[in-house]
Amino acid sequence: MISYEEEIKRFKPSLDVDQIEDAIAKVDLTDMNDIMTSLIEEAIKHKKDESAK
Amino acid sequence: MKYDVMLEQIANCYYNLGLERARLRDLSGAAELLKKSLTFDKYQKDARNLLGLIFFECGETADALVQWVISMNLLPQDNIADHYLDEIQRKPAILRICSDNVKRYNQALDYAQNNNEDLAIMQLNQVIQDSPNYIKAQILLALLYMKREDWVKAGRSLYLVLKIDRNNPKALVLMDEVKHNTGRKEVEQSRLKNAFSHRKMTDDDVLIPQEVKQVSPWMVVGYIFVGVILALFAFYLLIMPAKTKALNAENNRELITYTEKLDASNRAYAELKDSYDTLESQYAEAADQVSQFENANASFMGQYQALNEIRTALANCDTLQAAKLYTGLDQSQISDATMQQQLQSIKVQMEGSIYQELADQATSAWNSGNKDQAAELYNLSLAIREEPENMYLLGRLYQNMGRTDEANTLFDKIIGAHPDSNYAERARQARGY
Repeated sequence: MISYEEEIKRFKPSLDVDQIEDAIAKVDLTDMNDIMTSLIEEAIKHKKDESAK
Repeated sequence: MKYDVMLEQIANCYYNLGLERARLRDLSGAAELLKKSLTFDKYQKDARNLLGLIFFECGETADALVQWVISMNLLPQDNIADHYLDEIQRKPAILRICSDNVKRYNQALDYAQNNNEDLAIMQLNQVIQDSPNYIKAQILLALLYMKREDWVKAGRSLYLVLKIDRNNPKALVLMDEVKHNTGRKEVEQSRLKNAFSHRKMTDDDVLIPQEVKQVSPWMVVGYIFVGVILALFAFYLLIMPAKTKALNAENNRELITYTEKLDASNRAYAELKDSYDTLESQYAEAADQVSQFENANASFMGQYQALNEIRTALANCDTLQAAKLYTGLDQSQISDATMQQQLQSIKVQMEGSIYQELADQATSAWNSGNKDQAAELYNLSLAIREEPENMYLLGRLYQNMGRTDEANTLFDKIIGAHPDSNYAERARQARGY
């Protein structure tokens, strides 16, 4: 059975046209490429630190 | 293989799957796949633009704009998002309506979450009237209808949602509930059961042909008879009406042609009648004028002849004839200047001496006992010139003849018209005053 109260509570307000600028600013554009790049950079840095020791 | 190329390939794969889903109108599924594609490669321009389009189709204009703006910022070259944004900006009314609808939807959601279902339904109905594609509004409305157990209206809203987004998970779940409550679910299940209940043939199954029935000659005749009847029936039912219709149409066309011709003839007749009437009236006028001219001419001739005859009678000393003609002449009709001069000359003569000659002749006739002639002569004299003496004498003659009324009239006339004359007193005496 569907609980109507619960279902209605799950609905979120729609994005208004006036709020587009804020919404664009808040969008997280990080993709897998960014994550991989940052991981690789971290790994290189870690390796450099290790070799320096 | 470099990881960035690999990521691009994965993103591209997701995009292709998303596009496939979008083509099948599975917008929710497509949106999920496109979001995944963008997670792997944010520069997957087509995925982002398609995601924006899907949002726009679902009535989420602001979300669509967000995706297109980001797409334009990331890859401004040869980007179709520019066209989409341009289209939206060219029609500011669309933006205004979308903004109003979002506000109303949010308000309705607030009402719904605070148990003001009536107001929420009212608002959502207005939103849907303006944007029937607003999926979130349709689903919320359906949910509210379901809460009130108005399954038909809920089903209608959900049907619209599933028409736009075929596999919308929420709509599918709710539709299942609606079907369960309206009894549609059982009907569909039994249909499905019937559709797939045929047993597959195995190698051992044998197809037995149906028995061919022997038809007797009488049956053949019967079939032919029935066939003929059916053919006639078909002819009368299918072919005849068409033929009749065609003939009627032809007749109507001919009737219209004849009516037009008749109208034209009527118009021509009316025109001819008008011209005939005009000509007739002109003819009547001309005839009147001719008649007037003839009358005037005849009158002129008559007047001329009368004046001539008067002059001849005067020249022959026939005063009686001259007086008769003169008194019978209508002097007012004489307009010709020459004839008026002649009339004036005769008038002078008549009123100067002839009237008295006539009176003298009357007196003589009276004395000789011819009273009627005397009366006629006195009358002629008085017609030429009213002289009180002659009036008095005629009055006395009438008295003598026993024509008292006429005598009294004359006496009264003398008294009234010539009161200063010598005969006025005598007339009074004769009248008996």
